[in-house]
Amino acid sequence: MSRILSVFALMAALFAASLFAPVRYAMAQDSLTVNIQGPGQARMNLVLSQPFAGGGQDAASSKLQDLINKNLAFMPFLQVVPQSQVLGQISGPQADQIDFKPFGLARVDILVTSNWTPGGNLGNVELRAFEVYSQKILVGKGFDAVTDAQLPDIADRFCMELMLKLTGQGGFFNSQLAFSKPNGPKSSDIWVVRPMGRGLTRITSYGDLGMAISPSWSFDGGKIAFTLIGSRSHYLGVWSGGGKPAVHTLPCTSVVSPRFLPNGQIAVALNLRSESAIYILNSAFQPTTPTVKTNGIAVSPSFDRTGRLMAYVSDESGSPNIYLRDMGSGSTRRLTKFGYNTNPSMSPDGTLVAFTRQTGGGQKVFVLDIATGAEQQVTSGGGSDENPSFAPDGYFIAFASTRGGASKIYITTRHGTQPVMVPTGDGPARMPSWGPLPGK
Amino acid sequence: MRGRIVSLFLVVLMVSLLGAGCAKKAAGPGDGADASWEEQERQRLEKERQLREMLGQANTELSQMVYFAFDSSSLTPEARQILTRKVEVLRKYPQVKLVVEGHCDERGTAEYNLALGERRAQASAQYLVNLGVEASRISTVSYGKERPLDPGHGESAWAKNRRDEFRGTL
Repeated sequence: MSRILSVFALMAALFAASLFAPVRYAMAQDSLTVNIQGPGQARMNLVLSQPFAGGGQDAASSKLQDLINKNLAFMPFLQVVPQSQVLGQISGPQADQIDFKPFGLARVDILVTSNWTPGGNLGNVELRAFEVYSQKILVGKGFDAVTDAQLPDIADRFCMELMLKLTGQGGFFNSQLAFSKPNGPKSSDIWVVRPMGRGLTRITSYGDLGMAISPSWSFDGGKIAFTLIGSRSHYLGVWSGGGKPAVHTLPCTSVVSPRFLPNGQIAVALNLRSESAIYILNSAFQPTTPTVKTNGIAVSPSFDRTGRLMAYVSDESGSPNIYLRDMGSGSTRRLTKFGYNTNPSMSPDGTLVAFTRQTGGGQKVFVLDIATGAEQQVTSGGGSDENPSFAPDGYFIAFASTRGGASKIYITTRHGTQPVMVPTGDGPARMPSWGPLPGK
Repeated sequence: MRGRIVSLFLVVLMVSLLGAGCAKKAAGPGDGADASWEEQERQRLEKERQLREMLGQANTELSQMVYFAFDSSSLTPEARQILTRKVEVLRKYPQVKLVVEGHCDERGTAEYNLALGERRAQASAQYLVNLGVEASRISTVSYGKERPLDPGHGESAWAKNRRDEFRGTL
């Protein structure tokens, strides 16, 4: 369906037009990029032009426009500027049909056009993102014989390409969130959803017989481990990408915070012999020797993508704090120095830990730099913010918050940008876990 | 007086019959298909409902809750008194087992609270064992902050939610 638009035909026009580009750009970098992993981040202005739809595709073009707009709202390094605020003329979707100068003067960095032409189904559509100052195409994609059902996928693929071009990473659009959704006072199930709100799917259905909580993705995005609270014991649930999850009985009544290691094994906090410890389960889903054992509580393991580092919570100091264990050497050190700190989520590259700290204004999410120990509060405002989960790209962070009343899932970044709510349907949504799509 | 004795005899008889009908420890969900686990949970909950009806006033004593301070699993003097009274009920009904449910308030986070709730349940269970109740008659399960008694958001609600609940079972 998809074909990359050829840009060669545009080169001559772009070259000519670039002669008129502002001096500011002439001295600027070769290509427009933003370092999302750096200490801070720039914000680029983007105009999404009114679609060109000469063949009666008004409804489809508006819908696609809306989908792209919603996707861009998740990109905190982009500021969408209404086209009406810029005087520039766009007489067509291609570079030689656009008067770029007013956009440059208005400090617009990126201009996106869409062009619909008659074809099969709803028609054909071409999407282009131009770098205003160079008038170069950053992303060009074409889709033939588009159907209504394909519009979300088209919006995602275009936005993924754009993010990839600007930041070097587009994994946001190839990822998924698992979360827990209460169905009543005694019932809770596991659901999955794409971060843009698409593909909302329920994967457990226990009713009042059990509460499924604490979902955790495997590193390949193929499985979810979770705690199932029954009437007399906890169980370990494992969903393998389809069908009913397997439910495993462990030799204890408390099964807390199961997490996958990169090699597919599961670490989980158990209360064997009345001691709370973190175990790594064998292939029969049974505990062997404890990885972390304390006199108090040890829960919530979280691993980097190598499996060498594990962050976890222990209350051995008298209150819960975040600790880091080197799985190779067995050395352990305390990361947080004061307060009530829980819910660690390690960035895949092992450099950062997101966690929840109890403050006077409720639980808030912080990010700690493991090398320096420096902390940054990345959420604020009303309500309680819990269960941060790093995205596979190490940039975005999902968390659950009661800032709007009932708990919902929000997305921010390691820099603490304005949170955006993930559509998860009616009712509360809690305990997000972020994983890749399988095979991505 | 005679009527009370007859009633008590009937209760004990029915409890015994229910106990006889209950197999040893029900198999866990991993021991069979998920459907069988769900059926076991249904049967378990139904038997507990029947037992509650049969125990009547004794069930009220048995199910009286105990409360905890924030982020604590230490038993208060009042909690110890309540637990001591349960021992008498458990001695009177030797067929009855007890499930201790540990709960927490909303301020802590879910997974830590799940572990804290387990410690609270263990605290009550250990106290009962220390007073002579067979350990095999007591089991624990933590709900963390997943099942608040009071959905409010102030100290009054939190104090009610930091608790152990007790369920008689067979």
